[in-house]
Amino acid sequence: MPTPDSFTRNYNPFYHYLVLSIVLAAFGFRLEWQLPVLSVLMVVAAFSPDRKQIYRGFLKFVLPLILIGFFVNGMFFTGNVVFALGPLKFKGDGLLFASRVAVRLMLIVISIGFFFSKVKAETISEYLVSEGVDRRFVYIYLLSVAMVHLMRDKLQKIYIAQSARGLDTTKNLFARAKYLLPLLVPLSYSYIAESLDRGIALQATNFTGKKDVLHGQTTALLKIEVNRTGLIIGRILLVATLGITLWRLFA
Amino acid sequence: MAEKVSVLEREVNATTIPLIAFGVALNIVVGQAVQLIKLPLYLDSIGTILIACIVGPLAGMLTGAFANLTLGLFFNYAFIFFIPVTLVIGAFSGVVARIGVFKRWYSALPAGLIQGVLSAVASAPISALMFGGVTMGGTDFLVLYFRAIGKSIIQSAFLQGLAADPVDKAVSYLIVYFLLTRIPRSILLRLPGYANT
Repeated sequence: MPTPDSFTRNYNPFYHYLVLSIVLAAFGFRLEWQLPVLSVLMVVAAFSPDRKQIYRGFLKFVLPLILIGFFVNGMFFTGNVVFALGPLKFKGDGLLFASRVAVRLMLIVISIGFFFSKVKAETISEYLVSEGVDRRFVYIYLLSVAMVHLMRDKLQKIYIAQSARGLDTTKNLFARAKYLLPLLVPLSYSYIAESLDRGIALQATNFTGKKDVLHGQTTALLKIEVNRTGLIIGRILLVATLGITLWRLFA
Repeated sequence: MAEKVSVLEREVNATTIPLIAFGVALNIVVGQAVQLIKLPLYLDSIGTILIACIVGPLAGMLTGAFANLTLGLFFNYAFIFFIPVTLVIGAFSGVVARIGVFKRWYSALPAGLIQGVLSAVASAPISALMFGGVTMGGTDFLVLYFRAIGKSIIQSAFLQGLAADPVDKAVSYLIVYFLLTRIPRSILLRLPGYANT
């Protein structure tokens, strides 16, 4: 979640994405460019009010991946052994490849972490709708996020109920696979029926994805006005992103 | 004369939007169910396959893409990069559903196996080039094994996919078939893809 005093909060969220894309397109393809950019991002992240969120994503996902990557690629690449750790022999080419992957992943994760720590999902949704993106897609996204939590609770209840009726997860693989159906059938049945009813309700409100059914109704979401200057900046950033990407790929 | 309706309008409308959202959530929640039962499979495409069958290929592709986007944003960034694989799964299962593979288990099973091969082909370059073959999945030890016997990264990632995906997708297809046979006809009749079930 972005902090309320964040200076980037009132900027157009799509520009955050474009700036991120420019950084990735310009520096994301070569190791000699990736390292300095990553170092700068790490330093900036350390002073960011959202550093906990950014580093949490890094520690949870990237660090184990990088360590395993170094182990797998260092051990199993062909080439000269650069160092040995007991019986484990690490090859130079493998470690270089693992370094490239590691730096690329860190760059991507820290950039994405920055983006989502500064921009709320609701803000992106609202902005995309205001810019003409079909509201059906935004609705699917928001509804599915809401449904995940409800379905998890329901699945847990069904699991407890089925366990009480004799569902045993200590049996062999085939028996356990069979137990998946008593969990999924009631869950799917109730949610398909509920989704069909929800569909009728949407039809009743004439929800087409294009028409604004709210008709200027007030919203708790942050409204971002896009003026003429903003539009020009957005287009320049878009062209720059495409240009740098093509240049980096084909130059 | 009846107005011509595009595929997008036909498959993504007020009736199907909640079903697609349900498919997205099902993809995510089935992962939890698999952990509860301690199954050594992913089964994270059941929602995609189900929606592709009961709504259509485009809806299936959207379900897969949104599921991976949500998983990527909230759980593990790696899922975002595998969105192209979910598009392949949604498109293929939607197309084969139209020729009636979900009407019998013995047609669902081979279709699932073919789907697994296609998924392996689609995911291998992403896994190899983006993550160096390691994605923190339960089948990473297979990549380790194939690297140890001298295969390249892309070959190892493909062979790992080939070893794991056909079984995973065949089981997913069978589960979708059994789900469809157990859901009452009164509910199925209200679905856009009723003819596929």
